[in-house]
Amino acid sequence: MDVISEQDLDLLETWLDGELSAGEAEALQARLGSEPEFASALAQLRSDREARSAMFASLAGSSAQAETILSNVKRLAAAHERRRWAMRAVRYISAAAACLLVGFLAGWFGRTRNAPVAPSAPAQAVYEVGLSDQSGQVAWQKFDSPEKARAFARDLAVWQRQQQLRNSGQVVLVADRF
Amino acid sequence: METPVGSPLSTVELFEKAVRLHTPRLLAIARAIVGNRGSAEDILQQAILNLYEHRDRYDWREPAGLMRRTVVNEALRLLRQPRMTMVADDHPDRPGRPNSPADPMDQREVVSQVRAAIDQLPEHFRAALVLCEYENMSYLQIAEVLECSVPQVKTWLHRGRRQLAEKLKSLADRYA
Repeated sequence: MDVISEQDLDLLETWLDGELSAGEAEALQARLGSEPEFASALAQLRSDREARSAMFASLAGSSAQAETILSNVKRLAAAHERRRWAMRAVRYISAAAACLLVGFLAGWFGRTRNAPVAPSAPAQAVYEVGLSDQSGQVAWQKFDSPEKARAFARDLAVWQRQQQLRNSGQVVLVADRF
Repeated sequence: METPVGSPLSTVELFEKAVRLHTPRLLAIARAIVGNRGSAEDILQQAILNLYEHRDRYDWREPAGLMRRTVVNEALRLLRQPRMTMVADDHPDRPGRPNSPADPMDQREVVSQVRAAIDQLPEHFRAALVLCEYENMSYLQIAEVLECSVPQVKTWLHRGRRQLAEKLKSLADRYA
């Protein structure tokens, strides 16, 4: 085969593969008839190809192996399906649990937010007595009960009367008792 | 449940029939491609499992091309993984010698030598060779399965055959 070029070897292999056009095959056939080295190379290539075919054929499996593989495939597929169902169930349960948690938390926080407000103690009532001096400014005296405010106002009125009487000479202060 | 006689086969029944019919040849293809770099039975099983789990997508009346393409893709995918478990030469997954005692010793030896030589080729060379010479596929069909161009297929075939010839010639010279 030393005299055969790589190109010729490729041509012969392509012909053996059935991939030459009709014209190319016809030209090759003509060369096989006229070139002994070409025919010898073809014989060698056919021998090599037969050895490879025998080797490939020796790799083929058996019917028993086919049954084993089929059985394994169906068993594995069933296991995968069971796993998919289990994962789906876990997802559904997780989603339901998440919804319950969200609802619970919303209700919990909503409970404190919407709780009725305890009524506060009424504002302390203030009773005031206004005192005005000669400049017109007013000071407010505060009392926590109307009785005290009235008592103060009454006492102030008595004092003012007494002052008027004193200032008019009608009343004379004898002593203070404090 | 058995399908009544005369009734069309169900998808599962067609699938099972296809597996029983094609598995022996598909094993040869898987073994030729992965060599001792993995378990061809595992590859074939995974490929068939993938098809079974999506069986409703395919037409199981003419499944040969589909099954072959799936097995080849699965074998090449496995070979692309960084770590491959080497299968020992005497591993039960590794046939290489016909078991028939009627086969002459020299034929078995030739087969063994060819097997060893093919195992040393790159995986795409092996894939192209087994699809061309064992499955008798055209260059165009091989290109579709291997997802490459026709010139690429021709290159792989040419280089694979040349490398095999050199290896086997050196073996023959050694033992001459």
